Amino acid sequence: MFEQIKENHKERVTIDFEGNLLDVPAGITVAAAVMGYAKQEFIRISPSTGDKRAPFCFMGVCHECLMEIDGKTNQQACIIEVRQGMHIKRQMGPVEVES
Amino acid sequence: MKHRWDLVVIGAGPAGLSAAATAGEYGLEVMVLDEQPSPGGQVYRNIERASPERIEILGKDYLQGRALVDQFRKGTAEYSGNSIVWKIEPEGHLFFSKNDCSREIRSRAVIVATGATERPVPFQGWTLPGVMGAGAVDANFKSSGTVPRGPAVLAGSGPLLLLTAVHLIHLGVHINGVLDTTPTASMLSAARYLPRALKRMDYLLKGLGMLAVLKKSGTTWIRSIQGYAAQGKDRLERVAYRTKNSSGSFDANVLITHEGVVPRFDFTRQLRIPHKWNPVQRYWYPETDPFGKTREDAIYVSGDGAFVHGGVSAALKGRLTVQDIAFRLGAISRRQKIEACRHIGKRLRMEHAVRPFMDEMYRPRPSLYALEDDVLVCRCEGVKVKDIRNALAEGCRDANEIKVLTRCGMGPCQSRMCGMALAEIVARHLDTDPGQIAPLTIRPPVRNLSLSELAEVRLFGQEA
Repeated sequence: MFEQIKENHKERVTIDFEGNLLDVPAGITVAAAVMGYAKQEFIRISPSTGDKRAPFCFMGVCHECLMEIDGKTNQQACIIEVRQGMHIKRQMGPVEVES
Repeated sequence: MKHRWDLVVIGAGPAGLSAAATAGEYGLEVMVLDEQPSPGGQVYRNIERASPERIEILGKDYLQGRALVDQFRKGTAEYSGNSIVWKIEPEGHLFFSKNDCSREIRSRAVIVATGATERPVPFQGWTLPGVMGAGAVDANFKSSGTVPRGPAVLAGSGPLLLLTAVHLIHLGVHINGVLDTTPTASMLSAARYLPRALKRMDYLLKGLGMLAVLKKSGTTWIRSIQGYAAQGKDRLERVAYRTKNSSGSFDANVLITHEGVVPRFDFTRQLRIPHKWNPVQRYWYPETDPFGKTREDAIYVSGDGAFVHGGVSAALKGRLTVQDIAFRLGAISRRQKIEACRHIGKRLRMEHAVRPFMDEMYRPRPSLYALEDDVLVCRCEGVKVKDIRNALAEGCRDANEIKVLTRCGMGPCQSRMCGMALAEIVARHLDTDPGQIAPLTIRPPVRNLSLSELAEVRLFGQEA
């Protein structure tokens, strides 16, 4: 859905998106990495309606970007920056809550 | 981090940065808590790390944020990024989360400088992937240097829609159409404010310049749009629109909407501070004195969160707010305060000359919330217009009651996306405006927090 403009990125990091390793510029958001580099068209499946969703606001308001990041569910991918070795997964519907 | 401060500022946009820098110059001990990783707010987002390529597109309006951030960084105020405040107590006690750990700090004064957000307006298909706000495109570009793949369709009203179109044109993103919902009547009624606005020819020329770029690019621009809808199966495929006499559609990879900006009122609502209704721009804003002081002596609101005047004004308002705080805390004399206020007030009046014209020109169109029954209002919980209307038909009159009945506003975004629409739908049904009805109650924690983090919160004075 998104693509990166031509820029000189000195620093890059490798992240794991659902088992695929991606090389992305440091400092970008997880949501930008998923929409721009993992080339995904959606970021989660709504637990209430079951339809595919993607971020609407990209600034921490709409909560349509909730993802599993490094094993923690319901993280706001649009305000969290990528880190070297980060593991990112989409949430396909409701998520289990640890007891 | 220290536990006790003279001033805690929430948000590092223009208001927060100028307030913090000024208070630091007056010798106050200042902490800025910001949810972003670096200062700038939305308008100057990520300015410290912006590449030349991004600056070339965003221009000097964006670049002027660098002076503001530099001045702040050079000063004594401390900055804490990735810090999410989730409760404020009226005495100036704050709770915030950082690195999955919550703690309490206390301050003699608090400035809520959380700015404005795009007015979320539901419409048919707005949950389809590919539909996003103009602010989303802006935030993504500033933070990550990514742009939406075309073809794009833009829809709505206001200067930010125009600005987004211009940025996309410069970035080479193909725009299939701009659907301008600004009613012709608004342009006519705004005309009476034009003489005053002429004092700020620079702003008017900027607007005309943007229109010229749009025109020169040959972009299809349709005016007096009465409604638009996103269509597609699992993602956006087409955007349909209608005017008074016609209808049509455009293929689109992305639909970028914008229906104006409104103050963020999470904290002022959580603090139970009374709000007023702006009938022109249709939003709530907190009741404050001219400095931004609320009815709670320790709590101030500054910048666009107090009333939407834009980024340049927000920086001035931040400085103005600090004059009152610094005087009350004994950091400056009455004379110093009066002198500074005279100077800032003059610049604010100059800055505001163009606002009545803009606010009238881009007032929300009357049909904005005349929504069809099957439009989804609450994205999180999947509540539709008809669910709200059913509750109204059953005799519910209170938005909070409808929330409990339908779950509208009970999802992860905590009514940030649907609260205003819910109030507008209820008000419409009662033939009044949202200023006359009780809005949804906002309770702490204002932001999502895990129960374990809440249980382990480090209270004031407790060490790790």
